[in-house]
Amino acid sequence: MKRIILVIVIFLTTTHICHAVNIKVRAVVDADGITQVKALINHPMETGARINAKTGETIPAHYITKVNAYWNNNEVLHGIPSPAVSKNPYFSFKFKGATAGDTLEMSWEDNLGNVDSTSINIR
Amino acid sequence: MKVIYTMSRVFAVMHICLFLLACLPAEDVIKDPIAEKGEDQSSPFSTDTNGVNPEQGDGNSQGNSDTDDMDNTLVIPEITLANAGDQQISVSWDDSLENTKYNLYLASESGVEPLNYSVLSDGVAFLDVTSPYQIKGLTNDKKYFIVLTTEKVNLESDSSIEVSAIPVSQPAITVDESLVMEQRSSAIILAATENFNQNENLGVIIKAPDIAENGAVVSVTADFQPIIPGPGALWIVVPNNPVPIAAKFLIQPNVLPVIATRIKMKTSGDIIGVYETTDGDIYTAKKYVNVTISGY
Repeated sequence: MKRIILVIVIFLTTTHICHAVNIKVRAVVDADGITQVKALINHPMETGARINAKTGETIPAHYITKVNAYWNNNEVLHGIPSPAVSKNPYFSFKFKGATAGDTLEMSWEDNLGNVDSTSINIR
Repeated sequence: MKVIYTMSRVFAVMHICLFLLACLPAEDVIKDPIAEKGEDQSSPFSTDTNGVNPEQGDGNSQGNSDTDDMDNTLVIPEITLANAGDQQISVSWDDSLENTKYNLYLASESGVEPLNYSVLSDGVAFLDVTSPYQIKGLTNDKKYFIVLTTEKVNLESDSSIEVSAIPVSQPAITVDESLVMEQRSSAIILAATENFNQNENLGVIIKAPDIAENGAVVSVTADFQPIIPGPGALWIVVPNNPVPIAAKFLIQPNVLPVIATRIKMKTSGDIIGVYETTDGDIYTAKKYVNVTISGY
């Protein structure tokens, strides 16, 4: 009984950790005033072409269709990924004009209508 | 068994803590980014006494203010978009309120207000304007700060949350143009497969491993900085994949034409970077990658 409780608790703990951090963003401005942004999104990025080996069913497509980043109402990233982008997608880009302490907002939406966003301070 | 029991209790406490932690960011996420910025300031929809400028509000006697509450409600407006262009900034807001005038105040110093704009450098007021409003004759590469107020029966509201924009010589790509680019997929694939030698001597780099053991995760960097292409769209094309276009990115004027990401590859083959400028010029560069295990 206790073991079952333990398993459930561990399961819930891990799932909560996964849900808490869906976008990890780091933005650092260098001496030339160029901001380098690195973003990692937690997402399965299913192509819709993979088949579940046990059941023989096709795993439905589930991928990010739009990823955006805004600094100061300026769009600094407008990405349209396809299913060919890897699981847990990583995007890195550079832009000019920001100073340390500015806010960078990042968001994505996927083909099932899920959305998520985060905002960080540029360092 | 005792150890497992105590461990489970520790995990239970951890779980509750993590659950509470997990709840906090989830609430933040849903908030409108613009509203979020103004959290420390008063609510954008606060009304009446908060919104009335103390000096101009003197005429309202205490007794009247209760009865006139509905008519004289002043809404603090919100600038929804400040798009920088060539020597100009286009400002948009929700102008659906009736019998209300909108005033814009601009300066090249932070902290612009209706009362102090004239003493700030480049301070200008644009009274009774409609959305979207284009502020023209600005200096490029200079940061301008803008606030918006509403005016009703000679009473002016508090100013909106301050926004800033930097005019640049090249205009930002609008969403409409990006939609046109969506339809250009087939043309881009053709350009990628036929013209891939076009710019190989210009120093454009597609950085990817020579041998990718796992085709599910192939790091790729497309660096078009050497040709200084200006704004446009950067495409990453893998002709051997079932979906040849792996990703597209709009490159706005203040964004450098260099993008790094990770893609899936079905078989060994080329990764082609295509850069299409807003003028219609196309630059390409490629890199052959040997894939050991198919990853698509």
